[in-house]
Amino acid sequence: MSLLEVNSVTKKFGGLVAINDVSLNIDEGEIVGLIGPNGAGKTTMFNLITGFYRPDSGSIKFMGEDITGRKPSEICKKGIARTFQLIKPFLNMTVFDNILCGALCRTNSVDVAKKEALKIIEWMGIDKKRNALTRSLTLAERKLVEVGRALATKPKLLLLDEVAAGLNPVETEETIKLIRKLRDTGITLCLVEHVMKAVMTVSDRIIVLDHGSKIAEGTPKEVSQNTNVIEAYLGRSYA
Amino acid sequence: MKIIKEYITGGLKPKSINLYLFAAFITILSLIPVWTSDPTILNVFIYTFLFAFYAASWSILGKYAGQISIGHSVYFGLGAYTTVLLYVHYNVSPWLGMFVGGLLAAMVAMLLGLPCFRLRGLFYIFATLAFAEVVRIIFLHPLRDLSGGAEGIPFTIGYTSPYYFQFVEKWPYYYIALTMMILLIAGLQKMEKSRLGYYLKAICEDEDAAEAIGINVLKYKLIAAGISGFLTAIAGTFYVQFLCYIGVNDVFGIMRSIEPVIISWVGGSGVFGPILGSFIITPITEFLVLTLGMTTAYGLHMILYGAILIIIVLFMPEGVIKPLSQKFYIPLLKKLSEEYRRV
Repeated sequence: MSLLEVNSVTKKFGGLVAINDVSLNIDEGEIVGLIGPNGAGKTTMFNLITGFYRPDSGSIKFMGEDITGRKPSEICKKGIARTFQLIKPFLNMTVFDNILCGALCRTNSVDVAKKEALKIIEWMGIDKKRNALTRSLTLAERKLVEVGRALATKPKLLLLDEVAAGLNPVETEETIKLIRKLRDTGITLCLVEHVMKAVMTVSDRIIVLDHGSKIAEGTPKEVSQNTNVIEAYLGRSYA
Repeated sequence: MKIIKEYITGGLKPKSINLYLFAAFITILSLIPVWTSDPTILNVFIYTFLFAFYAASWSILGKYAGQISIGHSVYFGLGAYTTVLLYVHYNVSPWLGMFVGGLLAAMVAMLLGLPCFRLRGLFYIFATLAFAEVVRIIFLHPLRDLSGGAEGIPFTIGYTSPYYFQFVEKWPYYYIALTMMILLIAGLQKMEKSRLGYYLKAICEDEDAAEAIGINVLKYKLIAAGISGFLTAIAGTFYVQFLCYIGVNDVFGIMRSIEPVIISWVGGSGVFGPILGSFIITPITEFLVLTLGMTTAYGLHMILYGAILIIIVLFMPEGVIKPLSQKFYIPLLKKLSEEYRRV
């Protein structure tokens, strides 16, 4: 049984078919990369899995349980956490409070959540910025806060939406390390990513979307040689 | 705050200085009726405490959860009318009626929240405003026989009776209002450090992000609305018990909805924002009404409200409390703890 099963899901916005009959599986312990040109439906897929959108047809199962159409907060409690492409950290809170809010997902006690938040801050190596206002941080640091906050909800599956976008090469390197470190703690990961270096090096498996449909799936090497994928990215003459 | 904490390695902590200063503030306030029994002065203070309480109640929904309601007159009026009608018709003690009114207001706030919390920004604001006006007009015309309409219902009993929440002297009202304000400050401070407090702040910051980390946004907004509505109803009850008169346009009027917004905005956020706001705004209003009278220049205090608001928005968009604490309070804390260390 896969950790996450998406069965022929379709999502339309008016006349636009954003996701067209897509099925995919994510197994426990994997790092799956979800790629595709702009407008392929990657973020829509994330929004469907995490309950921000309700699919028009099809179903989504997490650990064998049907979660189609559940509220995002319920889905988070079930063990799927996410970050946003346009990151949404709580800017007027400190780094510590951001992560504390995430940790409160699993406990009613603020004291327990505080301990949990401290652990995560240490683990992620952002101890120096603990009491800084998130507003005062750089983009890379804000992204770390966003990941830390999602991590604090103790997810089994973590969906990262373009965590490497807009980062410099050193920061990208750090992010790749972080993703591997996350996997080593037993969290399954799914990445939407445009930075090919990042997604190709860390992913065990890649799923390619184009115009809302799944056009390829396989190891990074297989996918990069697939003619459909090359066509989607570069046009027919290169395929 | 962190700088100070690092600055002080031992001795008096800012936290305890805060507590001492707050205690001193309370002591001074509670001695005022001993010093004077001038009804005008006591009046100003009673209204200041009451509107501090009202604005702080509003801020639970309006500031902490970020849902700017311009319809709190509904809860203010419902609380007030429930208490008065229960007393006038069934002789129920206002102390009990207050809680019935509070629960009713909380229920209405939550029921209104169910559709309205799906709206965001300006649409939510307009929905609350429209609802408040509808309720006012319903009380003014269809429910005229019950509510007394625009003329309202005077219900003074003329002698002091703690059971009926009526006093001839001003000082009992003074201490009740002061106690209400202090209890709410303590409660809010506790809430700020609780799960509810963190969740409301998260919702205020970003609803989608809050939902994504497992916060049931609608549920927590409804909780905030319920608490806010309940406390507002209690403020309404006190207000009419103090006046011994209730009128539709007085308790349900649009100014009742706007007052807590302005007070909270002028003061700023946090527990002490609305309190500070009331200590600035309410005395000015009372002074204007007293000196100019209700007839010669009615509405002048509204012009002043507008002027103050413009100044605040332009120069202190986060309220008076922020520059005040940065310029005066934090240096004061620093100095106090420094001196303590030297001793």
